[in-house]
Amino acid sequence: MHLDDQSFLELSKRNKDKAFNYLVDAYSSKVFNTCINLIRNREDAEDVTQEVFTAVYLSLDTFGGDSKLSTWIYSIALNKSKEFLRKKTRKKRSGMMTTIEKDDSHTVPTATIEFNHPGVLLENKERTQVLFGAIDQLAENQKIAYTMHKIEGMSYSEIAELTELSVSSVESLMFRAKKKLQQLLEDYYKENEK
Amino acid sequence: MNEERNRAEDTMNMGDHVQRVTPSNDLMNRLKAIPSQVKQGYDTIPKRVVWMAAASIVLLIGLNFLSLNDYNDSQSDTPSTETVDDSYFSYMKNV
Repeated sequence: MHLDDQSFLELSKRNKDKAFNYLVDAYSSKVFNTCINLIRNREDAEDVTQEVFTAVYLSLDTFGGDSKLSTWIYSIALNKSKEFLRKKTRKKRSGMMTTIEKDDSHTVPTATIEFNHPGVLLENKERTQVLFGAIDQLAENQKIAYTMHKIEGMSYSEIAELTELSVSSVESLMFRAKKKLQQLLEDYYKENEK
Repeated sequence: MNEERNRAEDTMNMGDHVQRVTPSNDLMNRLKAIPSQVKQGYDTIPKRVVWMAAASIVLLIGLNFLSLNDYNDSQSDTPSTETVDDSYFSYMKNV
């Protein structure tokens, strides 16, 4: 069953639970993949997906159709994932102060990256781990834009809508992200070839 | 140098090989259970507590109205020209 946004709004007014079930069927996979690609841990991504849909259910009455249904849901998913990552970074930072002080190199610290992405085949695991380690070194907005475009397969205009930026800003973020990634990865391979 | 650049480019292309992950049945069940869990969350606040909170609010508003009425009455009884200073000095003279 596919509903356009208007039909969904009508269903939501008539029967909130039925409308919510439709959302779970239609968007759970996409939301879960968005979360797992940003968080890269299955259990954490499942918890965040649950938080996303709880928030969706609680604010279903306030959704008036001003934005597209998909944009509304993905923006909640994006915000919840960002919130989770910030909390995780704060926790890690307090325990890693000594490590950061000692580390004066700009190579990719792959050893410290927790990697548990079930969508990566075993033979690609090592290189993907290096890639994700490098992505983690990017600024948050570059990381999100790069992940959404290169891994999620979203277009620049979709990312722009989701992050409330202009398309040219997203293009600029992507350009800087690619350049920085290239540099980080070259440094990493230089370091590891010695 | 070129080799490192090529390896970096190859690694950057690894993003294309990340496959979509299907949510587990357990997650789907958890998601489907959200409406009942949210409703259960509302039900766990005892009715008695809700009524007591409502009664407290009504009592608070009522007391405010009563004290406002008392204040208005006392204001209308006191002559408007008399000030605190006047009554203080007249009291002191008598003493």
